[in-house]
Amino acid sequence: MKTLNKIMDIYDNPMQIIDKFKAADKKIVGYRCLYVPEEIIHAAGMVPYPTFGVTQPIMTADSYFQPCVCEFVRNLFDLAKENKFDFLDELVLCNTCDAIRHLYSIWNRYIESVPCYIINNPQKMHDEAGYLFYRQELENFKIEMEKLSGNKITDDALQQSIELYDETRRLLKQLNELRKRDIPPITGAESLKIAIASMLMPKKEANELLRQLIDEVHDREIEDDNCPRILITGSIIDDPTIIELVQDMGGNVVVDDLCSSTKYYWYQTKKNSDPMDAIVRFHLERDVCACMHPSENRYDYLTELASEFDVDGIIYFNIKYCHPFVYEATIYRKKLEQTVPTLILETDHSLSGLGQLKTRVQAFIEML
Amino acid sequence: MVTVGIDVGSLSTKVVLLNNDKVVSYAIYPTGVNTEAAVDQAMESAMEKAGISSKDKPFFVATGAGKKKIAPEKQQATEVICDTIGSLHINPKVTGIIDIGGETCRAIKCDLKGNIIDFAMNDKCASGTGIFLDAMAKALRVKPEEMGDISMKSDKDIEVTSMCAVFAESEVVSMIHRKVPKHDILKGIHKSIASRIYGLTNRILLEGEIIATGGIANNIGVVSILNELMNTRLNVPKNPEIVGAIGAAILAKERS
Amino acid sequence: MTTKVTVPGIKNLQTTAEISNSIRGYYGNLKLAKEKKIPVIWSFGLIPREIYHAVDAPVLFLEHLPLMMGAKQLSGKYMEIAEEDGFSRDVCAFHRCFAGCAIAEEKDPYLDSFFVTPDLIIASNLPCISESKSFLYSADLYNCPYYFVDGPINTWGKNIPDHAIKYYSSQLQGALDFMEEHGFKVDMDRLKESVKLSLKMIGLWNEIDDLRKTVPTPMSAVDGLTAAYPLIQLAGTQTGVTLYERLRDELKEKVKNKEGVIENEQLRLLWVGVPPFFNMGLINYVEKYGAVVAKSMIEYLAGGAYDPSLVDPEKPLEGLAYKSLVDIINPTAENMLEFIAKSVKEFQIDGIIGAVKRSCGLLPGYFRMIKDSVFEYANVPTTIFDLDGLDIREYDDATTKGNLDSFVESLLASKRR
Repeated sequence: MKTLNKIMDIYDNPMQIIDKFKAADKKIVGYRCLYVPEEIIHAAGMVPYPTFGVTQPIMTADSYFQPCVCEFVRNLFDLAKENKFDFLDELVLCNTCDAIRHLYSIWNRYIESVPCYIINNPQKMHDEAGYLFYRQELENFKIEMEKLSGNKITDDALQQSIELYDETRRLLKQLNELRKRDIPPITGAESLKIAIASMLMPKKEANELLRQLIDEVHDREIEDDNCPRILITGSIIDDPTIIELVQDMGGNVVVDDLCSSTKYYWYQTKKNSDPMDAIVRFHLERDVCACMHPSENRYDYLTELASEFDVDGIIYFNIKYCHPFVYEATIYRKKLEQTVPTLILETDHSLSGLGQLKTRVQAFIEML
Repeated sequence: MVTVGIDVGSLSTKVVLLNNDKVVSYAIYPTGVNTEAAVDQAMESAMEKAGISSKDKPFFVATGAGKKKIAPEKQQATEVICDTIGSLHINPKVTGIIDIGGETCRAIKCDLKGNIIDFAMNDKCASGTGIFLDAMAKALRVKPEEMGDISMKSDKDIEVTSMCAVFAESEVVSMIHRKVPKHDILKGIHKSIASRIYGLTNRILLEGEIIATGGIANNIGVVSILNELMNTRLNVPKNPEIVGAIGAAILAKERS
Repeated sequence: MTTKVTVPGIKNLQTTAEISNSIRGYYGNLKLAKEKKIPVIWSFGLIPREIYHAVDAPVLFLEHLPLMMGAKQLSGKYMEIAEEDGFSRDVCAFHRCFAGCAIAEEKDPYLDSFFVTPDLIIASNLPCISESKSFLYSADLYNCPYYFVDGPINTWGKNIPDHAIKYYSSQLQGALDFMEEHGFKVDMDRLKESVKLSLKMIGLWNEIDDLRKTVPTPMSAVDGLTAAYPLIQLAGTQTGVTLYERLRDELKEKVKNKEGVIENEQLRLLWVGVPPFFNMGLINYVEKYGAVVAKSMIEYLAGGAYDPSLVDPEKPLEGLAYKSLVDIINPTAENMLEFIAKSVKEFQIDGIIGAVKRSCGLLPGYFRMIKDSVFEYANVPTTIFDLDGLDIREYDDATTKGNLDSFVESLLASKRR
């Protein structure tokens, strides 16, 4: 499993990628949430870098946010305060949830090393008026990226970037569709690490590795332990420990609907002679985020995933104080349980209290 | 003239006798169920040590959780004020105070003139206070006053991860069953407490000379970890539990 | 160890009693509408009320009912009902209470006198995620159609750009179309009239504010909370205008006679965060120190703090869009911080009480920024402590009063030195 090991190494040591970019004099633009179009950053000749958290207890962030604000966001702020994001030339956020909106204001006020920009995207999908609004926001964002990079972003460059990023999405989807098999050739934890590594890497390299990987694992021999097939959902999981926990308790995580995985790559851009329009429609026709409307579309997307992958159970892993997913779980639960058993769990982003989680997951899986 | 400061805490009652800016005597009694009785006993003891007749009734000011039970409104004062006045009396250069008591943990920021700039309190939960430590002492079968010294023997970095005192207790019990040495567990407990206190001080960004008051300041285990986390050397006075009562006694002099 | 002493707030003004009557009258009309089979709308979020009043729609506002339940000490009970049905304790107390009221099969007579089931729901994503999501539960429960108004957050400060106004106007138009589909008559002239009345109201409210700035202040935050009702829920009505004219006149009289809320005013405080609805007596509690809570920021929820000259009644939707988007409750923080700092100076505030409701997704993130920016701008301190203004189950009177005591004492001590 040469390629797999290579990708795992990149996942374990993300700083090597940063060092390469810095050595090549590339500007790095961090982003969080899926309504920041990476293609625009890339077409300006800069590197879009998805910001992930680190599993550690919250330190100073509690005094800037109160302790009742999403742990993932507080963790990002802690890392910024610890100068761990100083390699970014800018951070770009977008309009998803309360905590991200707070991060924008608090970051700009208290983090001096990296400026923060926010894209104001609609929260209603499939609406023509929303497309116009988002288009204008992205035109403004394009100007900001041109300023930062010193390069003009041409339509050609945008088309090329779209093709490149679409290829990554297509390959990740192709890889993960292999998990529809009775015996998936990669585990849930491996899939998450591959997805995150691909998001961090330069896309040309990622695409090359993914093509090789798909060949490599195609006929991989895995033992069939006849475990119940599980779909994991929730907002963002940047530490595979949770997925490994489910695997350890006897569940086979065959599909994960996370911001760090399926939500990112499940859909493709539709071909369009106007690349900005293509980008607008790609983002606003993709019903994956719990912060967006109509909620019914996301419900359909979730249940379709569950049935395509033939799952026996659904587990929600909601980060503490993540309001969108906590609400969603409450609202969907009864309906979901009519077709698939569903377990709703709350986790600390710092992963304390794993013992209790284990017990509940184990009980759920035994029941399936 | 002699004045008295009474700090009626949830765990212990402290009485201080002040004579013209000098602490003449003090006494500490467990508050228990009957607050008035505890106060009477502590008063009697302190007066006796000072050589003052029990018939004398020096003017007093009361602070602490139980102050309303034993004093009219004009003779009550908040803990924040008393902590500050008491601390500045002991060390006029202090600009930060951490009071770690039985049920409440308090951080106060003041300027060199003694004006209170900011304060923060942790009172919703037991973690980080004397009640928590007492429960842990029972579980580990050690005396509360020995906990600090024993923990200093540890060179490991055991984590007690539960945020809640109730869950922490079961975590500790399972560590005992796994034969984890007492001094390592104690260090983990102290680390957990110190982190909560550190989080509190972070809310108001304490700086300069900082004094630790309240019963837990006697626990060298907690204090040494706090020093590490805060990158400072906390002032720990000889009798940290009576600082609040000293402040109350000084206020009694101002108000009489 | 918690103590649960609660006391209602003391109101000093004649007009606030009238406003309370108008609140009861409003809910009475909802019941009447149900009888007449007029569709009742449930409204969630930052939606300009003018559009409802322009079509005479009977509307139950999520933001208001839990407040009434809190005042009657019933909010905790209904929150528990929602929690038993799966709502997390970490989500907004308002939404939990409201959901509980909807779910409960047996309702207290008090709740029953206000509660009407929805025929339609209009919801918005602003100002917070709870508004954006919790209505789906009710839509499912009552199987009723809904329209979602999508508003841009405010990433620009004071100058809302055209593309944002255009987008939000289209959303408001969608809401009007939705109401028309379901039997309401939409008349643009009435909407323009509604906006004109709303502008009159904000003019009056600014006059009222100016009168409150005098020392001693003639109106406390207790009266302020009730007095804010027309600004928030009756925006665009003649009733609202009349009530504010009376309030302004009453305050003018008080100021003329130098009548303050308390005689010997030593300190003026600002309450930021959710007020203690089930124990408004806390606002009066500090008066024994000579401290008056001159204002609470909740008064500006979905209603005030915009420049009326930028609203053109001839273009009602654009005007309402501007008014809503520039509102201080609409994230991001810029307008809120500037407004609070300005209020502190203009009202001569000595200290800010920051009450953190832990289940809130919106306000807690602001407290530190408010504290620092107000201290920088006006050298005024803020105390921040936990207090859920709606969840009586979590309330500890001794601790809360201890926090207030400590803060007020430290302010008085600074003043003396």
